[in-house]
Amino acid sequence: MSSVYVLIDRPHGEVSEAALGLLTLAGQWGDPVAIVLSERASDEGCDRDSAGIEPSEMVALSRAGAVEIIVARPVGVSPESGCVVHSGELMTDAATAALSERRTAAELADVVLASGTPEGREIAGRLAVRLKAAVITDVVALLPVTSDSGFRVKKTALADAFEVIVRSTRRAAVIVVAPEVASAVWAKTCETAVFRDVVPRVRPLKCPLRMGTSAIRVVERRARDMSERPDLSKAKVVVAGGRGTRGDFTSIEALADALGGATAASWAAVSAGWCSADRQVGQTGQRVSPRLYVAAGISGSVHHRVGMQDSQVVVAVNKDPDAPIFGIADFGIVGDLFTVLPQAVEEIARIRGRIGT
Amino acid sequence: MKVVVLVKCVPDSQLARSLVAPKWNMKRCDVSEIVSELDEYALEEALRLAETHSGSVTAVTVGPARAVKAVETALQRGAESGVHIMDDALAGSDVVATAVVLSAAVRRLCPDVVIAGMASTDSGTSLVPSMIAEMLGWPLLGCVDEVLTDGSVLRVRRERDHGLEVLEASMPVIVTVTDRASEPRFPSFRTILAAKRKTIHSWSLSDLGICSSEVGWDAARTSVESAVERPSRGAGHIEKDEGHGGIRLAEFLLERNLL
Ligand SMILES: Cc1cc2nc3c(=O)[nH]c(=O)nc-3n(C[C@H](O)[C@H](O)[C@H](O)COP(=O)(O)OP(=O)(O)OC[C@H]3O[C@@H](n4cnc5c(N)ncnc54)[C@H](O)[C@@H]3O)c2cc1C
Ligand SMILES: Cc1cc2nc3c(=O)[nH]c(=O)nc-3n(C[C@H](O)[C@H](O)[C@H](O)COP(=O)(O)OP(=O)(O)OC[C@H]3O[C@@H](n4cnc5c(N)ncnc54)[C@H](O)[C@@H]3O)c2cc1C
Repeated sequence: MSSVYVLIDRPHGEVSEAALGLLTLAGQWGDPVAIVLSERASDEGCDRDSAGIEPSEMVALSRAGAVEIIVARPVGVSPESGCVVHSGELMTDAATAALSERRTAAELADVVLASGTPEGREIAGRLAVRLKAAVITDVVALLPVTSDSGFRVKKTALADAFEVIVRSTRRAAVIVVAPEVASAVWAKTCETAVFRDVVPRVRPLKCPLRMGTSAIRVVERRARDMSERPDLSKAKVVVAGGRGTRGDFTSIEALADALGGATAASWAAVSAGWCSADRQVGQTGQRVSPRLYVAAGISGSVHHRVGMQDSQVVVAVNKDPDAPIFGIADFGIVGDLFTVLPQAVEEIARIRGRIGT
Repeated sequence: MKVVVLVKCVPDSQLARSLVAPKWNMKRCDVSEIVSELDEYALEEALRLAETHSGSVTAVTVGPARAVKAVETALQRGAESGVHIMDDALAGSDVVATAVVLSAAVRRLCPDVVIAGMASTDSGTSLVPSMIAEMLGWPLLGCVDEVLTDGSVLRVRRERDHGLEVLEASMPVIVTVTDRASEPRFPSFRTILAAKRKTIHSWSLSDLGICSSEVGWDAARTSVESAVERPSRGAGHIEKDEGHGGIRLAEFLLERNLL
């Protein structure tokens, strides 16, 4: 089998679930090879092959099926220089170095999988230019490779209204998978607990920098305070508020707490400064598909719907009977969220008291 | 300071859109074409940069005759000049071909900063800006919420899922802007009138030294085999709150085993 390269992103200094899902997906097309960028520059002294990557991360990568883990360490950058370690250019350099070293006559095709985060897309774009590769984004499934059809994938288009089968007409292809799809693949692997558990080869790679990598300097970086409520992307229940809350999220939070769910927001609520950007659901925010999505004071524009329409059950509360959100709601109440939500919270407590949960 | 803003003309995303056989490209209709909504944020940042540093903004678009609308919109908001790149050979271009054309235009215009949208609202790959950066050998500051400069370096702020970042880069540089940036301005009567006197340059592929075999359907590195519309979710039970709306909601959740 030929190698399928996977760009591993580590947004919090830890391998993302989406990256692990990509490795699982890569197994459908060949032998998954993980390319990881170490934060430790190679001139810092080489202690271990996997220096800079936590042992637990290495275990996760092998459980996800990586037959080989390439640990790229930049040459000539130190954290003190203030260089962005996760800059797209650096990862592109790492991937280019990894691939050019391995390009042999035996390996006819180069396939690289990336996650569709902003960084993932930057690297995909740069890499496709260097490899003269096709690049396909918003991919939701890899299709079986037949003898001469090239790599075929399924992607979504036009705010998820269409499913499209696209083929690469080049030998080399960069496939950008929707991050929520990749994360879901890994969640499923964990649920079924069927891990590939191969023993991967670990290969350090010195990665000389090209171009103006050091042209980008980090002035400030502040981690977000993590909320006590469940993470939006993983929550089974999401309660979202929009402009109709007029900035008062008390009843949204109360219902989320009653249901053990996460809170979310429309663009209007984020742009008014009522919620932080990581709470936004929709085209320019996150895509979620929980068991239950409650939208209160949200009109349900096409841009918002694209982020939540794959939820199992949708409940809407809106004053306006003509709000488009009702068009996709399993259950809707035409009414004022400031009376409906608190009453629901009370009733939930009463029902729970009655049935004793 | 010379600023170039990239604006794409797209079908209005609020209206029904579709893909048409045999090649599954976008169905186009002149009346519903507008400047990609997210490019309005790019334009606003470009205008603000130019205003504070006595610079000028040039709006550039690639597309068929009707795409000139995107440049006209930019001129009405205050851009100084426009470039419309049009050539029959461009039909069916993929992201790489689009980036080849735009990077050639940028080379010719020699700006200090290029500002683009975070994604177009039709095909929305978000790849064009990074490809231009790669082709020009420039740094990319992607998905930023604010652009500032002291005239020599560019400073941006961006919010990510994991936190806040402030980054700096020297120029020339390419930046993409999110819809969390400043609210785009409306054109005024005065700026609409002024726009009529501004020039829009029309460039062909040969003006940019690009061979027609590098672009269009035949050069595309991807081909679409089929496209099907996904069934949309239907509406369920909707009722008016008669004083028990919250109780009804809780009962629904109980019924569906969601409590
Ligand atoms: C390219 C692009 C990308 C976008 N991306 C996103 C995105 O990712 N996510 C997103 O959400 N939007 C996005 N938008 C914006 C989107 O088009 C809408 O403007 C936005 O979703 C509106 O938010 P809203 O529903 O909260 O506000 P509104 O549309 O103003 O709706 C408020 C609703 O609240 C109701 N209401 C008011 N008071 C009450 C009350 N007391 N009780 C109950 N109901 C009440 C009103 O009837 C109304 O329906 C994008 C737009 C563009 C152009
Ligand atoms: C539904 C659909 C899906 C597609 N999927 C793919 C795919 O997976 N792979 C592929 O190779 N091609 C794909 N294409 C073709 C591709 O979208 C076009 O080549 C398009 O011209 C460039 O990509 P974009 O609109 O996604 O730009 P993006 O990269 O999303 O645009 C980002 C920014 O770049 C600037 N920009 C982009 N295009 C222009 C322009 N023409 N003029 C001026 N500025 C511009 C704007 O500032 C814009 O905000 C697809 C086309 C369609 C209709």
